Amino acid sequence: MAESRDDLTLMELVARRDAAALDALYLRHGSLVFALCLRILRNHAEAEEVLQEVFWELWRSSSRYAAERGSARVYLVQLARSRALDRVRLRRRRETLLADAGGPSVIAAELGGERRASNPLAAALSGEEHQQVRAALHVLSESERRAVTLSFFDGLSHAEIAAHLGEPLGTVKTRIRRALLRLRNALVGPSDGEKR
Amino acid sequence: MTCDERRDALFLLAAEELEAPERDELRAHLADGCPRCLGALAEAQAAVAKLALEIEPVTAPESVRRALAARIALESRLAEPAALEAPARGARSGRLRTALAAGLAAVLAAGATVLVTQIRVMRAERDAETRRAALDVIGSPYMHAIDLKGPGLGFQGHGHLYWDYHSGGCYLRATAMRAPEPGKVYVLWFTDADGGPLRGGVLAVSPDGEATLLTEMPRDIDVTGAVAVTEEANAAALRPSADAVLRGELQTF
Repeated sequence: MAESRDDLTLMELVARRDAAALDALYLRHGSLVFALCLRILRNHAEAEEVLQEVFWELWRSSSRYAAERGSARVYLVQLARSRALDRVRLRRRRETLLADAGGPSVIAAELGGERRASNPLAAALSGEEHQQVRAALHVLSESERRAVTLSFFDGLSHAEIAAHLGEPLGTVKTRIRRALLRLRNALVGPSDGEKR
Repeated sequence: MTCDERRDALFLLAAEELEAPERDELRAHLADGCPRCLGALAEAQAAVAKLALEIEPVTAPESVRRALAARIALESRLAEPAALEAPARGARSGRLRTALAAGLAAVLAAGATVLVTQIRVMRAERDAETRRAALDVIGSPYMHAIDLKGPGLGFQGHGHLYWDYHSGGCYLRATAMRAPEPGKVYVLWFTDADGGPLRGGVLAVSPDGEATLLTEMPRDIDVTGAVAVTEEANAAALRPSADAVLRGELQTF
């Protein structure tokens, strides 16, 4: 909670054109945003560009940030994912390389050469949540996890995932929907209807 | 449908996995301002964002951090001249009046030398500031130089547009430029994504034929489009009205 309050204060300072506050947000969340960009884009130079684009957009549009709609981290992750996926989609359209895009299984290998974040504060803050997310993902079956990963991190449409996995579109849609709701239950608890 | 029943759909909406017409119905409901569903959506967005925590963080590059700081510094430097330019003459004449008033006192008190020195210092400071910002652009690892050439036919001007594509800063420097005709100025143009002109700013021309402009690349440019400088009677023109005296292509992107 203290982290959220601090973030909120920093966001307010950024809205008042305080460059040091933006720098503090970069130090706090840059490693997560960069990791997400790398995971989605699988290209160091492009990930750096999107990382800068995300924080620059934060700098330029921080006055439009509404705290009640989510924490700074949520805002940054959404923005980074959206911008990175835009690039992936643009790249796919340009190069029509969907068929040769390579499986998501290569991601870990491609990230192997990157330095893991060495910011102990960031690590301590996110460590518990990281474990929670890992545990939540392990609630899913392998096929569910694969489908969610292809959708969330690779930005593939349902039709593209179906083609990639060689499965019917309806099966993929149902699987992703079911998997996401199971994830939701694991991360924030079941809805009232499900509790009863 | 009750708000409780919408909770699953809100999570799928946050994950961008909800399809029309269910998505449209839900967005319409949210647009009505239902506080309960808006709160549930924020909660769902936070949960979806948490999925990113599945990834091990990777140290964010120092180079990006430095580039951001440089970009912010350049932005503030560019904002200062812009602020002076828009109220343009008013602000400048205000300064001039102040300087003149101060100058008169100086003349009375210590002679004209003091005033001349003050004005020189002010000019030197402004020039040094512009040069520093221009050097930031030229020295950036993300700098891309675009050749600018005249059309020939007796027009000898040539130069470069330096574009730092990380910070968005642009610095144009051309030499062998003849002075614009009386009442006219040189204006820089970019090409927008639809092929239309995007105004870049007015060049300053020195008596020895050097034309310069420090500005920011417009956001909606065509990164493969043309760049041009024209001579305009209207310094605030939104479209070029004359042939290019300098021309180049961004091209390589």
